[in-house]
Amino acid sequence: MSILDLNVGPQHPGSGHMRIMVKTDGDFIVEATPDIGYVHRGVEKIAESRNIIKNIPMICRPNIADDSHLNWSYIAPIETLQGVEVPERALYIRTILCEMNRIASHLYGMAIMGGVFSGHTTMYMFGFGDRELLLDLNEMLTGARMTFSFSVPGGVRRDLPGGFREKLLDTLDYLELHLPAIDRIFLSNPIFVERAKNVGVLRKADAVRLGVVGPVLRGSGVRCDIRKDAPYGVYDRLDFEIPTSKEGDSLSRWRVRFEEIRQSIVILRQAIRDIPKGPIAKKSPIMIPKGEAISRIESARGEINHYIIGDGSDKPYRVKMNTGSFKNLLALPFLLKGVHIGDLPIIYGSLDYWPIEADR
Amino acid sequence: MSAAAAFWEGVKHMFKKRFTIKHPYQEHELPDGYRGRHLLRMDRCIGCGICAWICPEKTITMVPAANQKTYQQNPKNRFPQYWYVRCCFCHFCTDYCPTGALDYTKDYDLAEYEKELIIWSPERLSRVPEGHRGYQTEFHGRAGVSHVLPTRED
Repeated sequence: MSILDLNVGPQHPGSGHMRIMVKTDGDFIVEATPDIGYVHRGVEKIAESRNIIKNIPMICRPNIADDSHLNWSYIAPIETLQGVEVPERALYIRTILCEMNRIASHLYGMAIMGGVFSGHTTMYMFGFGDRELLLDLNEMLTGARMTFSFSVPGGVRRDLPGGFREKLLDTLDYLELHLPAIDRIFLSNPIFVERAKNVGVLRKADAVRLGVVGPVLRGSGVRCDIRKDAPYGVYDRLDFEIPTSKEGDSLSRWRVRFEEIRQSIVILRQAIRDIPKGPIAKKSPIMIPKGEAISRIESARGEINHYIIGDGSDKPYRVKMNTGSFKNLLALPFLLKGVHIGDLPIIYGSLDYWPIEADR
Repeated sequence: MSAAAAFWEGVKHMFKKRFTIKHPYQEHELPDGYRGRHLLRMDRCIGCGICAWICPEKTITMVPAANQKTYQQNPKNRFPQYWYVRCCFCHFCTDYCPTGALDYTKDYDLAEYEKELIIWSPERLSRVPEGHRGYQTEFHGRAGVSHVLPTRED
């Protein structure tokens, strides 16, 4: 049979713009080449011409579902270079915001990349409904539902408002009650299990060789999480587990994300209990001293780094972003080789790929 | 776990509380400190232009006030004018305002039919929206100039 070329994308019903050039032999994929760059914005280059504060909203934009991690990752090297010691309360507030973002991002991923791509409309509604509660909390804390630009060098912009603690605990109680329903309707649903089990299997050795990160790596059985391996902020003081799964298929990647929501709830409960009193920010100058620094932050889509070189001015000399989505994309051509064309959305969705984050 | 359990879960949720609201008829209740459009207090603005300098999107231009009043504290007669097409509502301008002349409001419905209408003059910015409570920046504190802030949860 002759080989047929097929373009999947650049427009998808779920994620942003990204094309997958697929060569098919009948119903089977012979070769798949991801074609990225449709949403490239030149964030790294623009960052060189703006001062460090003005960069914050732009650096957060590439991943609107999970922007507090990008924000922290960009701020951390600047704080290292400036030698600013961030107050503990600020670190706790950042942790609370980041974990709320992780839950919201995983629910978003399960709704769009899991639900829509597998034709599961109820999961789409469930995911977005529960995420709404977290967006309300974000709104209360930062004043914005998404893209908060909340962390600034030296601390955070606002303190926890009155009544936030109670509302957060209420939301976590609700989520804990509602997660089994999500499990029943989506992850344990035999229709979805049939669809995702043993589809897109990424073995442990392959996952390590391809250099995937985050839930994709943990879904293949590698226990790797920056929050435990190289703790930043206050994560070394928090007690939580890293969920892993041995199977390495699409279902196990979603299972890992689902368990991570549970662990984030555990972290949030500890953080809101242990948060100390004190200032939320330290005065820091709007300039980067000479030198270079790198951050390692575990976002919802895996490890992200910002490598920043300062030259003593208020603008960074170089900002290099390294995001989880880009690293996880390397697994896509490998996973798509030899599978049914109908499995493509399931595999693509299970990577929870965010094109804008990868294109930057 | 059978498919029936999944189906039953969906059926149960038909009788639960809805998350959605009928937006134009029902208002989404916004918390204090929501980052909507700006409120300018012209009697506090000294026309320093820090807001225009810190703005990442170049939303703000410093313009003279159109009304005939004179402001003692603002001898050069320079006030911020917002072009809301560009604004990303990061509110760094509010945080960095040294005199607290800028403030948050809960006004977010800024769409207009004419492109000239989306440029907000200083006078228009100084209109206090309906239901605006107190001084939002004092409630939440500002980073930036007054960077070191006390705990404000109690």
